[in-house]
Amino acid sequence: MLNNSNSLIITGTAILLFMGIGLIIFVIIYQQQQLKQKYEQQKAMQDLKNEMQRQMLESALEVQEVERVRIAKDLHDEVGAMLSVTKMSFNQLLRKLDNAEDLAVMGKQTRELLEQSIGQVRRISKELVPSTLEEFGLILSIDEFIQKVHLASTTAFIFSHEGISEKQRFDKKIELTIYRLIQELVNNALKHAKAKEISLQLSTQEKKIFFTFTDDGEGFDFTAVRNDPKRGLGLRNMESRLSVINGTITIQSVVGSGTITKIEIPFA
Amino acid sequence: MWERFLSMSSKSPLLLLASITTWLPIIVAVYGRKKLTLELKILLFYLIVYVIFDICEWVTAAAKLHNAYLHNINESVGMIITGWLYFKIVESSPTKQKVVIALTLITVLNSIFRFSWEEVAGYSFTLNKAAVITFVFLHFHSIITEIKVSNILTHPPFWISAAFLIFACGTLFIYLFWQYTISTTTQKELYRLYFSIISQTFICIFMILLSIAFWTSKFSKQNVE
Repeated sequence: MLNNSNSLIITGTAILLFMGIGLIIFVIIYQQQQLKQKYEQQKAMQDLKNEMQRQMLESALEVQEVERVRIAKDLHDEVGAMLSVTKMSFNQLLRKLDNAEDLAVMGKQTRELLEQSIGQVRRISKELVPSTLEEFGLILSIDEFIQKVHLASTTAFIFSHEGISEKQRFDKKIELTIYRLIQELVNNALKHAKAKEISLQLSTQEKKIFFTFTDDGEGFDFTAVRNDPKRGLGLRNMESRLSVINGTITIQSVVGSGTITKIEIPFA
Repeated sequence: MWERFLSMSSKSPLLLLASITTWLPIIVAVYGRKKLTLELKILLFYLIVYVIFDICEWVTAAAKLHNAYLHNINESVGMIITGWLYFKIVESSPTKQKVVIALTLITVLNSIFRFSWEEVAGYSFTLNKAAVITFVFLHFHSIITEIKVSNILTHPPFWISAAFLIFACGTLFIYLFWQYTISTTTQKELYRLYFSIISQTFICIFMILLSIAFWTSKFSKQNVE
């Protein structure tokens, strides 16, 4: 009788204890699994959100480019044409005013102003839409761009494109992004850093485009600029543009020692 | 009296070890007192009350005085504090809080009506253990349904529940068959087995797990969403 009761109590305690420990282990494992699932769901939601943001940004950039094309076309075809017609009409008027010397001088000055206006309209139109990029590709359009900037400033440019031929074409979005980034980087180097020499290196390796932009300008405090909502706009714009094509940007800059910007873009 | 204390300790070292182990969570709690949440402060209060009764039990036993009533009062007071503790632990669910209040009231009323000066109130203890197991179930249910804890192993209430569950599961059968295991008529050998060995071992485990609960309190803030 005693032995029976003893074994009943010991067995009952053992079973209950076993169940208790089992429950604790179950709670640990189940809770961790639930947590894992929750994090996976959150991650999936975040990825979806990021993808939606990326698509929205892509659409915004596309709309921006379409608008640039429209403005460039209007400037070139309408304003440019009107100015050309005005110039022709003015030339005729000038011929009839040969005898009046004072008027002729004023007329010539006005014609020069008109010529300058026509030139400006053409330049703005061309800058808005890089037609060379569309027609001849990235390398020639970069070449054309830096030549133009070189003529307008005293800054020296070194441009190398290892493993990329002049005729090689990439996805339209990639070409346009690189071109716009170069415009922004050159603008920053000239306007803010007052660079004397700018180096652009473009290369490809294992389905990735590597672009390194180096200037010998004044440099800047990257962290401070990055966190300043007023000053960091250009940097954020570059990051946004790159995020659309899954690219990455790394900037190394020390005040007084220039800036090195490295960009990586995957391509199919 | 001192000689009797030494004699009891040498005959049943686990009794002394269990009493010493009771100080372990208190020391850990005092060491990390700045990070104690309300639940852990209630638990500390529970332990202080437990230690006071434990000292009283040692003193009365050494003086050869009957002390079963102290054990019964300790259990009832402990049950009220445990109810308060779980009322805080399951505060995200008003329904669970109501269940905790109801069970605490039932167990306390039962302890009052079944109170005994001479014997350990085994049936009241059994009911208390069953109530504590229910509290732990309610808490575990909250843990796995709410998923607010990022790492359960550094979550103090989890260790509190683990401690209470193992202690309750380990001693429930001993109290259910109290007449056979820990009554005044129990054979010396059996009393020694169930009270001096098994019960005291579970008290040691209980106190160690509670010490872990206090120790993990330093992670508790970063652990809950």
